Amino acid sequence: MTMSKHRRLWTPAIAIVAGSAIAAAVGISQGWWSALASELIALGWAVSLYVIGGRDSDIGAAVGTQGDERQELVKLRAARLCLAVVVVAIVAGCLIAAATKNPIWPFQAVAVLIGIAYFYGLWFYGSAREEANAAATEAEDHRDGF
Amino acid sequence: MSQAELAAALGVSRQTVISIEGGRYAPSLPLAFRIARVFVMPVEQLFDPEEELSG
Repeated sequence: MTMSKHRRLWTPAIAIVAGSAIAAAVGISQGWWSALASELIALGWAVSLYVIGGRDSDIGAAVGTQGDERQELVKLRAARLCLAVVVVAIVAGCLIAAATKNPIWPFQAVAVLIGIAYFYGLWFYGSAREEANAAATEAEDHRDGF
Repeated sequence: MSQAELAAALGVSRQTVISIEGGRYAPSLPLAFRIARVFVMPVEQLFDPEEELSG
């Protein structure tokens, strides 16, 4: 139960840390009233996430960073949809930035990071993990004299 | 046995029990064997490999 409660705190905690970092950046560039508003939005979002994370539903399990095998699959599919939307948003952002003569490098940087993460994920969750498991099994068999 | 009790016995959510009952989710082998153990039935009597998922 305690473990479950702690896991439920993860997503809101990340929201507060990221929101506070954004609020600090806003404070430096736009003034501290804007930063306060930004921080309040982040806190409200974190409280909402905490409440949603406690609900007895698939969304509650996903936000509360817990769940069984089916809910993990649901989360994976939701993440795939989310990635597709992010890619479309990056392309749209690039097009709009280029059309309005603004720098496109922030979009390119995010696209490169996503690309690297994707191929790293394919390698890590695919062949790398299987090879590591096979090597561990082989080492165990060797140790047991098979 | 209620869906909530079965979910607790299997260590999964109530939503997953509902999905399995409705034929919308095919459980993994370990979960299928846990279900079979709870109902004291062979796994092939509970799940038909020829049956397709609905939805």
